Amino acid sequence: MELEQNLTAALMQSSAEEGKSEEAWPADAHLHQPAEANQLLLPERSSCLAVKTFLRMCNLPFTEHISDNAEFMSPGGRLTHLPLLRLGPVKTFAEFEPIVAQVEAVQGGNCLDSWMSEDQRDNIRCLVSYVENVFTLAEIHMSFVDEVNYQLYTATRCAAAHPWPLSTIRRFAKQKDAQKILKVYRWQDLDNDQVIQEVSICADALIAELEEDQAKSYFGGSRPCKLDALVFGHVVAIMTTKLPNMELAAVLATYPRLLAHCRRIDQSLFDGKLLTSAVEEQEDEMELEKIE
Amino acid sequence: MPKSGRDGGASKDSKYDLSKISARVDRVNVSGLLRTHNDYVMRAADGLFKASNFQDLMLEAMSTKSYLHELGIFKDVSVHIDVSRGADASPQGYEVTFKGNEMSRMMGSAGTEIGQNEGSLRTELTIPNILGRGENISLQGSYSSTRANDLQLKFWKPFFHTRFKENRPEMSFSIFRQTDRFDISSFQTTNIGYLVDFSAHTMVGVDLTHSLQYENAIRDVGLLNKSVPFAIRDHCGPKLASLLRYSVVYDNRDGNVFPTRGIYLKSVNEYCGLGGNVAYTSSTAHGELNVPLFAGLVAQFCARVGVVKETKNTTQLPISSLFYCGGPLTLRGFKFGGAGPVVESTPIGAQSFWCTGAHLWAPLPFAGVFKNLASHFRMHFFYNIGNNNSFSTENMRSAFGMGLAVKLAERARIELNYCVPVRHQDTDRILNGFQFGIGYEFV
Repeated sequence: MELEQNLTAALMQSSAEEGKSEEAWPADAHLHQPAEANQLLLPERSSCLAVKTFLRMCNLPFTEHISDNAEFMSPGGRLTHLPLLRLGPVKTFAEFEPIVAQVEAVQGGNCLDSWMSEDQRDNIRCLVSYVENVFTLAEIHMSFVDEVNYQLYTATRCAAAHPWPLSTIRRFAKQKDAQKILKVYRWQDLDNDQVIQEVSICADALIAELEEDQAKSYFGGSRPCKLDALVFGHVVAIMTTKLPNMELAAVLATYPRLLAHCRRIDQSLFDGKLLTSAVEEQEDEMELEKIE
Repeated sequence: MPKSGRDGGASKDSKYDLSKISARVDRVNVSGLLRTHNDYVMRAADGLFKASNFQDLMLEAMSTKSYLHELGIFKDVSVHIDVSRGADASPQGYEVTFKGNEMSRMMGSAGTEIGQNEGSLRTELTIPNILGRGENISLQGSYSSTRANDLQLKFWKPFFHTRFKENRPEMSFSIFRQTDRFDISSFQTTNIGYLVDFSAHTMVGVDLTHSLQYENAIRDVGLLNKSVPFAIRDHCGPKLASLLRYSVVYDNRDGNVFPTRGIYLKSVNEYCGLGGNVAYTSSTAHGELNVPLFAGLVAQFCARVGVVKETKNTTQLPISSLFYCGGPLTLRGFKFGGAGPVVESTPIGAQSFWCTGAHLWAPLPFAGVFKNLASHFRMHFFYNIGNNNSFSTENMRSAFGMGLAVKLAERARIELNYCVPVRHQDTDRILNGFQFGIGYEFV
C-alpha cells in the first residue's frame, strides 16, 4: 500500500510538471456521467460527486452531460473510469486524481493547495490516495460481492443502458471487471465485516487528521482542499444511496465529526441539498420506526 | 467423274455432322455416392433424357457434369458414354455413366485472401456434405495485414436439387467475430453476432443475383489511442444492431477483373432497427460499363454512390457505418478516408458520398510476345471525380493518372498507380505520386 501511494504520488507529480504550460480553463468544460437515477453505481457516484465538489471548490465552471456510454468514452482510469471531464475537442480526463492533477496544472500557483507547506501537501496527497483506494474498493465490494446489494441494486443498473441480450453480457462483464479489481488489491476474499473494518480504520485516520487541531475546519486547515472534496464525495454517496444493505452508511454514521465536516461542505457548496436534507429524512424515518 | 464427286461430298457430310446421328438416352447412372442421398443428384439427368441426337447428348453430358460438380459433393466427376445393352436396349440407345469421387469427411486449407484494400492470411476447416445434400460446415480464421483477427463458423445449405435449380437457391447461417480497424480515425469496431443469408437468381428477362440477410450483432467501438477527438470518442461502447440487408447484382461482363465489354450493377441496402439500439438505413450502389474500342483498348466508366440516413429511432448514426471516401478503391490520389469530412485533423465518415471513374485500359506493349504472362497485366489511364456529403459540383475532388494492374486469382486485382490530384480541399490527405491498391471492386 505504501509503495502504491508513492508510485501514485510520483505519477501525479510527473503529470503536473508536464502540464505546466497548459492553457486556461475552457469556458465549455463538460463533465460526462451516466444517468444517476437508473445507471450510476455507488463507486461511480462517489467519484462523480468528488469531482464536482472539487471543481466547485476551485470555482471552475463546467456543464454536466448525461451519457450512457461515459465509461466507454473514458480514456482510462484505475477503478471506475468515471466521471469523464472534457476540456476541449481532444483533451479528456477520467477519475478524481487525474482530473485534480489537470486542474492543478491549469491553475498553477493559484491551485487549491498552493498555500500549504510542502509537507502538508505531501501528507494530503498520501491521504487522498489512501481514501480513494479504501473507500472505492469498499464501495465496489459492497456493490458486487454483497449478494443482496448485487441482485437488487447493482445488476439492474449495470444492464440499464443496453437492450437484451447485450444487457446480460454487460452485467457479467462488469461483475468480472469488479472482481478483477478487487483481486488486484487483494480485497476479493474479504467478507463484509472486514470491509467495514478497513473503512473504520480509514475513517479513524481521517478523524485523527481533523482533530489534530481543534481550529481545523478542513483537512488542510482553515481552507478546503482536494481531500475534503474526495471525502465529501464518498461519504455523501454512501450515506444517501439507498442500498438493501446499508452497512457502510451505518459505520460512517458512528463518526459524527466526519459527518459534521461533510455537512459544512454541503452547506457551503450545495446549499445543503445533498447530505443534510437526506440525513434528516433518514432520522425522520428512524423516529417513525421507533414510534411504531 | 461427276458421280465420283457426288459420292465424296456425301461421305464428308456423314463424317462430321453429329447432329444428324440420332440418339436416345436409355439410362443414366451416377456412381460414387456414399454419404449423398440419391434425390440430391436425381435432377442431374433431366436434360439428358431430352437429347435426340448425339451432339445434344454430348453437350448435355458436359452440362450435367458441371452441375454435379456445382452440387459441391464431388472432388471430381468423370463421364462415360456407352451404347445401351441388354434386353430392353433400344436402337440408337445409349447409357451415360457419371463417376464421382466424393469429398473427404474433413478438408482444410490455408492461403491468402484479398479483401478491400487489405490482404490477409486465412485458414479454413470444412466438413463438406455433412447431411448428404451438399450441406457444409466451415470454420474460418483470418489474420489480416491491418492486424485484425476474424473468426467465422458457417453452416451452408444449397437447394440446387429442387425444382428451383435454375434459380440456384442457397441458405447459410453463420456466427462471426469480425474486427474492422480504422487507423486513420483511431478507432476500431468489433462485431460479434450471427447472420442468416438467403440468396437466389432470378431469370425474368435478365439474370439477377439476390441476397437477403438478417444480421444480429453486438458492435463495440473502441479507440486505438488516447488522443482521439471527442466526436469519435462519443461513439464508444457496445451497441446491439439488428438489421436486414438486401443486395442485388447484375453482371453480364465477359470477365471479372479485366472485362472488355459488359455492364456490372450492384446495389446493397440495409435497414437497421429491428430491435437493438442502433437505427439507420443505408444504400450503396455501384455501376460499371465497359466498351471495347480498337487494338485491344477498352473504355471503362465506373460510378459508386452511398447514402446513410437516420430513421425515427436514430439517436446517433454509428460511425462504423459512415462512408470513408478516398483511397485506391474509390478516389485515387487520396489516402483512405482522406477525401472526407475532418474533425480536429481526424477524418470522420461522411453520411453520403459519390465517386466516378473513367478509364482507358490497354494491353501491355509487346503483349503478343509474352502472351500468357501479358494476359494478367493491363495498363490504364484514369480520371476520378468524387465528393462527400454533397451531390453538387462544388468542392469536388478529382485526380488523374496512369497505372499498371495485375489480375489476382480471377477475382481481384492489384493496382500500382501514379496519381496526380487535381482538385482537393484543405483538410484532404492527398497522395501525389505512387499509390498501391488491392481489392475486387474499384471505381
